[in-house]
Amino acid sequence: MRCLEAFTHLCAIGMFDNQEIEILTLDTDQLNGNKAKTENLLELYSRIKTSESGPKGGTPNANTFFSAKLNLHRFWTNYSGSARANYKSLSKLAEGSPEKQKANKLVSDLFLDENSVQEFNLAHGYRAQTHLGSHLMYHAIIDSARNLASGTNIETQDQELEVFMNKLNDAGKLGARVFVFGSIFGGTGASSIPVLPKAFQDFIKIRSGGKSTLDFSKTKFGSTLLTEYFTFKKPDAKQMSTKDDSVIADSSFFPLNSQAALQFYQNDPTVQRTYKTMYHIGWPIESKKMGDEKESSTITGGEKQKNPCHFTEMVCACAGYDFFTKTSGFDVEKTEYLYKAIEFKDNSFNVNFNDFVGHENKAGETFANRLGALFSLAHIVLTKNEAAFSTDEKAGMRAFITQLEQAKLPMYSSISNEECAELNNYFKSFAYSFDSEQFHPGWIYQVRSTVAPGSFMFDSKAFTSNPKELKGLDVGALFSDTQNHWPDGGFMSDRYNKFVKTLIEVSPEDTQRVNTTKEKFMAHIYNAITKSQNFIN
Amino acid sequence: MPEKSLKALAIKSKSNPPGRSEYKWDVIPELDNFTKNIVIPELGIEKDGTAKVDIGTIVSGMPTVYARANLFRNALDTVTDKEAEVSGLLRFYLSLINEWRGLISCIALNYKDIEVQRVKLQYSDGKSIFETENVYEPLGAFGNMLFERKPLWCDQTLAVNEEKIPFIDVITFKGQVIGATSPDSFLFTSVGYKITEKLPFVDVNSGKLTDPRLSDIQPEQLLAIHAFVQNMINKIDPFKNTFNNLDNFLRPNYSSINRNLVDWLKEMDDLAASKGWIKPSQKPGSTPEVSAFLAPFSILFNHSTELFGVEGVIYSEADTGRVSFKPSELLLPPTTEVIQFRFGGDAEKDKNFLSVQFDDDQDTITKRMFAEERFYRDEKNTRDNKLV
Repeated sequence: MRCLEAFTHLCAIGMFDNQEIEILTLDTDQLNGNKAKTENLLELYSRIKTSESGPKGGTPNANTFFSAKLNLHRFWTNYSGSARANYKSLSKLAEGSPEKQKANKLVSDLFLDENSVQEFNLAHGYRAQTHLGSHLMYHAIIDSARNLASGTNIETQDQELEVFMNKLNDAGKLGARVFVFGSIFGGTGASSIPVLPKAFQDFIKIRSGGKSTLDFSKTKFGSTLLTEYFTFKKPDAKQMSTKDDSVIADSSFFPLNSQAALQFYQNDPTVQRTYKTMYHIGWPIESKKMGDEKESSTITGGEKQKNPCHFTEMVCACAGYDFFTKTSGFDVEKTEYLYKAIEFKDNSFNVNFNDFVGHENKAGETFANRLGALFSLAHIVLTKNEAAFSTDEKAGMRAFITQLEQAKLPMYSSISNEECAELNNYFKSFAYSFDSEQFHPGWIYQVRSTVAPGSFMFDSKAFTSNPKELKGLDVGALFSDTQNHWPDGGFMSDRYNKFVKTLIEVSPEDTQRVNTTKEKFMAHIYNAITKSQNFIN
Repeated sequence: MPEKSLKALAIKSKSNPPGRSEYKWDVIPELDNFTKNIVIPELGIEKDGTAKVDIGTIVSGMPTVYARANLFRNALDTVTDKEAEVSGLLRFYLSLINEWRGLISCIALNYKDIEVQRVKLQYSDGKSIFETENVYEPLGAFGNMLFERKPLWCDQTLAVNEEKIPFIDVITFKGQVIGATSPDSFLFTSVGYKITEKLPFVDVNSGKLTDPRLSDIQPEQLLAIHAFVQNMINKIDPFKNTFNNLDNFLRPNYSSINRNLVDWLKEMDDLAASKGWIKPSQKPGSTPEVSAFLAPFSILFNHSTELFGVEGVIYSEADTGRVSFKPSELLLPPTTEVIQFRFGGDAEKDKNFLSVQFDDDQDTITKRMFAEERFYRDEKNTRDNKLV
């Protein structure tokens, strides 16, 4: 889910111009904290793009913040109630004639440990038991299609899945690309990657009564194969003593399981026939520990599971960018397995803008300009206009708009306080926030901390958490390279005041395809920051 | 300006791909080596220095319900040097190879205790995934999970117009499920079996099957296993040929298995030599007369000696006029017990004795048989007393 969070921020910085992207979240654990956080972020993104006069989620734009239109669909498996709580009950092993029961037990016991894997509680996901997980996730999607076809037991998640599948079916006729974010060492994601193309294909077959299917030569699948990059508290014997918790993921086994999984991916004919590209992303240096050491037990899922974001997840999002934008590499007979290399010095990665999206056609500079622009705007809202320190509705984006009014730019005054608050909240997720005196790093702060002490494109001062330093931060000097600092304000002025003057000089352009006041506002700021950062001449 | 040092943003491996292209996504060169050499932390001993980790229970990262079967194929493909020091997944693979050899030995030595039950991987109500009542029913659900590999798990020896349904032949030993057949690795063991009997192919500590070379094996047992393995090697090609009609990408490659079995024969010779026995390859034993397996796995595992007879004389070589026959088909089953009826001196004197008896009513026959039995028991007692 955190890869999707990174992907959403890529969309917010404007990396997917003119695109409408259908997003399906897939989980076994509807209460999972990471899932809720990401879905909330996507909904917030969608609200920011929505205006009273336009369609829900807005429209695609270009060369501006929040340029892609994102449509969120959610599917989760239903393992509630004793009849669906574990493999044994879900499979109904104890039902039917003695011969049927015997045959079903024979097959189950051959492959799945009877006392642990067949009996643990599925409510918190597959707990790194991907052999079971892939089996159950495929059949959960098929089950959903069958429910919809028969008109019985239809639940919200079935309906949301169907909307997604209908769009995929329509897009697939012309040629669609589907990118799957998932790790290979965890539970749900790792279980789902190999079965999703077939599950989607069979879903469409079932719903169309066999009249339609997904043609893998037209609908192309790509995926991340993310290996372990964090560890967490080891479960103890006491926690594993109940049947419900007889299986708990143990991060010390992640490398072993990653190895087993990679061997599977490079040999399995179904994977090789359904996926065009797989991006292997790993973390070859020491992994940081996640979670609270004070927790009495390992968190297996649920609301408490909210892990911090990592650089590798951002690279996964960029793999998605590569897959969606590349123009070649789809005529392969078997899956291609790709990797990326980054400058490494003194046991740390030094990250350059070009590392994310390449450097051909100045892609890296475009990325740098856009990421820098959103980061600058975040500091304008949170730091300069104090949204991070105040709950006053006049702070943050409202204060910035008021400042523009004073600078003879009154056209954005109609943006409501509620809309300003949504933008403030987005920037808090993106950069940082304070809860009283407590500092909470947002996405880009967290990502940068996983690379530190290596370099991460921006000056380290841009990531300070000290309130005093923040209040004195020069929001026009975030980049490491002074060439990209905003122009000096001159005598008795500063970069920020100079920037406000630049806002007066620029305006939204037709090529940006912006219509509503909020869209024009975003495009206007984007243009002013772009001009100030001096990337694009 | 010194050249930048690039590092692959990949899982730590002793064969990490080189940082050759800055900024670009690049194809992983030598993917097999990269994966094989992934660095695995030592798992054998817990931090307290006591409990050993059962790697079999923690390898759960292969996202297919057929992981157990796939792991055996990977083990056979990956472990090329059984004597090399290994760790992590390779150590687990080595233990799987031992189990695999243990299962082969079990079939060779105790084939009378083996039963093979074919389980068809289709929903028990005979309906498709679209219509069946319980889509999660293991029989059908496991069949679904074969996806593109489904044809490989069907009997290719069936006629073209017969329905091909994937199957697994489940192997039980004295009633306990211990493994099954697989077109990838011929055999694999199940996840949870435990054999408590002391047998040469069982690790008494774990209850798992193991290479009998690691146990207290007898010369005649070694001969039987050697002969059985040699027979398997001879049958690999005919077995492989049954898959010739499949697409290229599905056709199995048994070179690793063949290599492993050939190595095993040599290891058995070495063991015999170390114990001062005649090497099995120098004086091969008889191949065990296994008959439990169904087609196509019968090609690999079943064996019946072919002999040739003419005018009451039996030969092992074919020749003009000699009629071939399989002793296993003519002889009584191995479980047959021989009983003897003795009717005493009257029977020796009267050639019509039996027909006379059958003319009697049942009661008379029974009485007579008891009388005969008493007579011989008394006679035996008298003889035994004289001996004393």
